Amino acid sequence: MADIEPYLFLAPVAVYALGALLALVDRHAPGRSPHAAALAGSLIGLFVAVRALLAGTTQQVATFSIVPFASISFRLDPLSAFFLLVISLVAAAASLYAIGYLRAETGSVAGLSAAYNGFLAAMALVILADSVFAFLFAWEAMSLVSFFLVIHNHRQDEVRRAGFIYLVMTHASSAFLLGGFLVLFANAGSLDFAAIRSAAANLPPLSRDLAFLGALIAFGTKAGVIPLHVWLPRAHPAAPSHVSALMSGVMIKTAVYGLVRIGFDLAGPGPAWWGGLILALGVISAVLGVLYALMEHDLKRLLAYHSVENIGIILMGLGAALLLASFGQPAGAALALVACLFHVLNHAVFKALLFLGVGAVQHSTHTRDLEALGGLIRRMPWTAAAFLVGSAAISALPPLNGFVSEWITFQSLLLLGTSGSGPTVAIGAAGAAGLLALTGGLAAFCFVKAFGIAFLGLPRSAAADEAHEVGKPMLLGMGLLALLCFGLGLLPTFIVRLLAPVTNALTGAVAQPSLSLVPLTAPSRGGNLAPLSVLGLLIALGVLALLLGRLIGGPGRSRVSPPWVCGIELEPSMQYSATALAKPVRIIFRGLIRPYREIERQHKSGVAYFVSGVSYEAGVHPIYERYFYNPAVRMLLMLANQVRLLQTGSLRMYLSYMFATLVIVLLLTR
Amino acid sequence: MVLFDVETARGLLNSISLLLLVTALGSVLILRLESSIRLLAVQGLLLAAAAAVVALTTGASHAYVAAAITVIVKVLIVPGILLRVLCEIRLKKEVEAVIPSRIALLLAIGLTLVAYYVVSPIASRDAFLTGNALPTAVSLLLIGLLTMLARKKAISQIVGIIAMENGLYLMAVAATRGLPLAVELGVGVDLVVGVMVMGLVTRQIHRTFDTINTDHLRSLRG
Repeated sequence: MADIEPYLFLAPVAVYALGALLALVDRHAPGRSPHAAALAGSLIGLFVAVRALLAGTTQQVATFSIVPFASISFRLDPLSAFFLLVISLVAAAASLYAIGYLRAETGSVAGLSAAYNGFLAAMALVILADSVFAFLFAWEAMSLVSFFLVIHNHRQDEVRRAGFIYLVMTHASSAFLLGGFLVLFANAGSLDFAAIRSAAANLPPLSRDLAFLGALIAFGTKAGVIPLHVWLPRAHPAAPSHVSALMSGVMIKTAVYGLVRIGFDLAGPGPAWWGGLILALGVISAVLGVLYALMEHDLKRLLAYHSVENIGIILMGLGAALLLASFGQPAGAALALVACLFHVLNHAVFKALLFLGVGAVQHSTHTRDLEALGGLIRRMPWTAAAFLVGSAAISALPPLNGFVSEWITFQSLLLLGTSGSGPTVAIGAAGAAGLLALTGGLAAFCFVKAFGIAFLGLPRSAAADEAHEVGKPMLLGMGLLALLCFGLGLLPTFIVRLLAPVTNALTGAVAQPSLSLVPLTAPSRGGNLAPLSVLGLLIALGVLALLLGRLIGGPGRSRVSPPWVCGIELEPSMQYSATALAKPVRIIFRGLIRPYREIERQHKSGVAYFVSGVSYEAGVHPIYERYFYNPAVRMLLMLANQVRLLQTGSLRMYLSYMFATLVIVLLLTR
Repeated sequence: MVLFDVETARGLLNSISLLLLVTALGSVLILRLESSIRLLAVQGLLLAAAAAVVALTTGASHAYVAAAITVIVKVLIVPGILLRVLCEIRLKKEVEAVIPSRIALLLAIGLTLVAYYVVSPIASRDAFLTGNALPTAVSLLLIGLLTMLARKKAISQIVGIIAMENGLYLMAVAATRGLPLAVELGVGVDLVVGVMVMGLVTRQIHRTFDTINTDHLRSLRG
């Protein structure tokens, strides 16, 4: 046993690998056994992670030397353990869900299940890697496997296009990551994280900045930071829903892990502008992300844009943490880091829940278009309840989990503003806090739209009318996450305690957010929060409202009748549409999001007075595409055209190139 | 079983190499596709002979196997596949050349001179490599490439690439006194698979363009 013990934390990876193998071998139930294996692996991962976090400082290292020049080593430290916890939680729910979801899935279920397990294994290896070689290998494996998951429905044109953009973006960004690591390698003279870590103290400022920028571009792309996010709203919706849940909930968090690892551990501590830059990127991503989400009527794309928004919120916490650390305020940095990591966990839970919910809707109605849904709350009550919990959580409503972590983010931003580091920081932090509030409000609006249009009212299409509730495994997966939304929101102190070893290792301090389960200390600076009391208050107020209503209205009887619509028949098309609901926001922010609309009237027999039909198309012209991507693509095509002068298409020409090269080389090397 | 001493072996290898050179130069002049494929078989036979000479000189058992593989692959399988492809697509049996054959012959002779010039410093250093084996190998390579360049039909291009591969094989045999068996097997399998794929592609080109003139591939350029 003593020999196995140090390698035990790799057990989840081994189980995932086994699951992948099972998927390829088991021909009878290719969907069931691999996902059962994935479930087992994630439960083991959960156990390993919680044990390591409770033990605090434990570090387990496993090194394999397969190639002579680079060792492949893995390590479980508190930060890795926390991210392993996040991955395992979501993986457990998604695997349960997948068992039901895949029954109706077309295409190669075996391949999908194998890739799913491989994806989980690769993500676990990314956060456990302890050498450059291992990290890059796992990182690329994760990108490649997720690419295959994205193009699972490759018969659709749109999916192939999404996969292509994803592949291009992720590979281009990997080059920057490689560059960043090479800079660190040049300084440390070793590819092991341990050596890089110990050499970080005497890293020249220029190398430090280069390594950070390289990592920021690479991880920013994977995380979906605006303007590097273009792949995300395309690729996440293209994948099957349980995979979307993992990609949006977990995969983009591995990039946050990478940023924390580089910023605090491998290349840190850095100058103040690192934190400032990340904070600024976070604010931009959060505000623009939620605005673009509001403009979307495809449920999965809407959720994908919300991932951009939430990554922005997470980066606000991270930026504040880096800033406070560079100002020499470890306690504040620890608080901000808790905000960042707690929101990582919370977003993983509620975003996975929402994606699974949309998956259930799509499973049952075969559409994700909001304008074709409606009235699902009567047909899919459990899914509707789960989706509602997720919507409330992502809108940061108490007593759910999103509220707590956004509250801590506010706390750390306000702390940053009052940290006495000059007026620029104070104004910037106040502005960021204000924009965070705006983001929260818009997010709530967006989910009023998403939930209201999809689940309330009358069905807008026959498919929505014929919807039915999904099977038990799917409901179980969603229910688990919905319960977690409540649990994390009501008992946040538990998570904060789990995070203590993480912040202690990275910032040298343990955060003391003014959280208590039931109150009731005197308010500290910036206020404090007691979630259980909030819940109690909410219940009490609800009961009070009911009582008051009864008291004032008297013991009336309720009568159900259709709404009055001027005496004609009630039609679904009379309802608010998603586009119409979002119109006020579109008008207010038109300078930022550049909406366009095209209305075309078809006239009966060419006479302008008799309109036979109207076609209406609306959308947005994203700024980053006009000013960044379009010029970049144009330049690339121009360069490619120059190179094409060599490419004549004539086989003989190509052979002549080879021939001439061969003869010249032979003569030269004589 | 060692039949020859090194002197005899060198003499024999020299003669075989000269014969190979003659076939290579001859291939430039041949105008029938079928004959050029048969000439490949002859080249394969000569190569097998070279391998056999090495085997009989060193007495290593794997060298015999190598010679046997050469006979099977280069004399039987590869020409067989090509003849079948030729038979299936039923086209005019002449090669279509871009460069007239006389000029091609002149070019081929020039390339042979280049080959002799290029390898002379290497050849004089190692006793076993003296003579014609190495320069012949390089000329086979260059003439093979010339064949690919000068002809239009896809089959001619396959013939050219196999001639190149023959040159490489001769070089290996002459320079190493017999390759390890694993390498030998690998090269054999590689060649067979390569020719099968090229045959398939040729058929596909024929089906698509109704000709195997590779000039038409130009239209694939987007």
